[in-house]
Amino acid sequence: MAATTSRDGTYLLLVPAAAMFFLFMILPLLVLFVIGFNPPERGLLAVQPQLSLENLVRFFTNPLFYGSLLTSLQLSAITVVFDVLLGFPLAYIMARTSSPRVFTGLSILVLASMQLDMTIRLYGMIVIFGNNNGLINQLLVSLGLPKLQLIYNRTGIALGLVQATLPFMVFSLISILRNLDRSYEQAARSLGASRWRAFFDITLPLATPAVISGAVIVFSLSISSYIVPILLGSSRVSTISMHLYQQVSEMGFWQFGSALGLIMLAVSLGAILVSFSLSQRYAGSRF
Amino acid sequence: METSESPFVFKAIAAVALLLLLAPTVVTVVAAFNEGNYLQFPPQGLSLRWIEAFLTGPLFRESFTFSFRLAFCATLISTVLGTAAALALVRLRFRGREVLRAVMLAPIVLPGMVLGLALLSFYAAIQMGLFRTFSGLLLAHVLVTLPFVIATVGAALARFDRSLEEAARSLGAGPVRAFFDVTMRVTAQGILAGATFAFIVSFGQFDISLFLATSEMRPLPVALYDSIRYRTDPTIAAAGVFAISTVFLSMTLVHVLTNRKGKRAAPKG
Repeated sequence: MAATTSRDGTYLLLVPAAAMFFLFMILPLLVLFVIGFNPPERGLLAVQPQLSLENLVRFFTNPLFYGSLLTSLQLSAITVVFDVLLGFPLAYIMARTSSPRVFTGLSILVLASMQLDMTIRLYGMIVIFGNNNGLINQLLVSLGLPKLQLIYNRTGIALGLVQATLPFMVFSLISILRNLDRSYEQAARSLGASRWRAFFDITLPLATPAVISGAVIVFSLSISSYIVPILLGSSRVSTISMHLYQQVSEMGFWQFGSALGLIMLAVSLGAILVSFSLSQRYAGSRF
Repeated sequence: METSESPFVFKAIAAVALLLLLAPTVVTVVAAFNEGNYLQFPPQGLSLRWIEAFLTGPLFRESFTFSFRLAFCATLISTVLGTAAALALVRLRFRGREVLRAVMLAPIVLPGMVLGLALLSFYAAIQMGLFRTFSGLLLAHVLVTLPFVIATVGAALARFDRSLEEAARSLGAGPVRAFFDVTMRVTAQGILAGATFAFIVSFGQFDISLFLATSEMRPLPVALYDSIRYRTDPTIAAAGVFAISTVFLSMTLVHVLTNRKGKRAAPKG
């Protein structure tokens, strides 16, 4: 494709959006970075000239705080695993269906479920999984079985995170599963491989980059989710996002809150970098 | 073709996945029309009392209109900025293009809560009237909706046949005229889909609004969250029904717009 010269001013079209991202994403993140390294001063929301490592030291020496990071990492990892297990079959069926109507219908359902207000979805989750009046527990009681504690604990947070992030996994997988060259799989089948053998030896490895990119999105969304742990968790399970909100909004520790934000950001970016190098490796080894 | 023969295990798991995705929404709708204070199964009787409570109580209705206004403004701005950027990204080949593209899509994966906190601190630091104001909140919503416009319009433009615009240019149309008469008409579906996406994303945005909202400017998701923390009566479900309808309508629109195969909107004179 021939490159357009800047003579016709196409470059100018980039300026407003680029300015937007520079002014309202990059600069604010830099401000956050500096505040995270400012000495803590309760109630002060301003950039200070002095730098200090006090916030990070406080984080990594207090088990309450670094423990919350471990909890968040663990919950996010569980979410990724369940999203792959539940999302792969759904994406596979959507990608392989020969009926455009089935594909369209399922796509709209998954898309809409992704875009629906999270509070409303979590309200629905509480109605279904509620510990006292939840539909599942009503059913168990009517069958004479004991009630289950499904929410306001780790299980509840994991259920909520899977509900919230599953569509992202499904869409990451669909795009690649639809474009997979099926001749490899057909070749394997015609050479006598069973359907499952062909799936595990051919289709799954080909889809690995998509699984990785879906996992990253799901992981970053899970690690930074605040609404799911606050509504489906309890005060006994604290995630890093819950501490961030508490430190900033309830206690006025802007510096420590910013440091928590930086740690969250570092984890997300770290995940992106790891996945990038992994998918490069897989892309390199693909036939 | 051996197409629809997905293994049974897959179908079973996919059904569970769909159930988990959709059941909370279905249950919310049922709860909104339910008579009692909490949903019993089977439902106890139909009633419009929660819908009425939503429509007559000022709490959610004000937030609903506020969210609508906010999403509308954010959509207008990000559609214009995003379409321009998508056009340039598709047309131009320059060093750092991929980096710029990644930066412009970054708000999709960056933690919204962290962005919200960063913006609040930034607004406080620069003292230019953005701290706890509508403009500040609006700019934040523009930021998080832009990637969706850039991605959607970019995909539409990538499919667009450049030669049509060149034909217009060679027939004497200026670059601006050629854009509006040819490119814009042919890719209008993509732009409309991008705008709808932006609207939905802004309308449902919680994370970025969490720190930027105030008691006078509370978008619906924040208002719902504030109230659900203290009580879970079905007025929330009633508010949900309105939000659900908005989203389903828009999503169907996006899907129809982005998946029309082979049929390009023929430019009409």
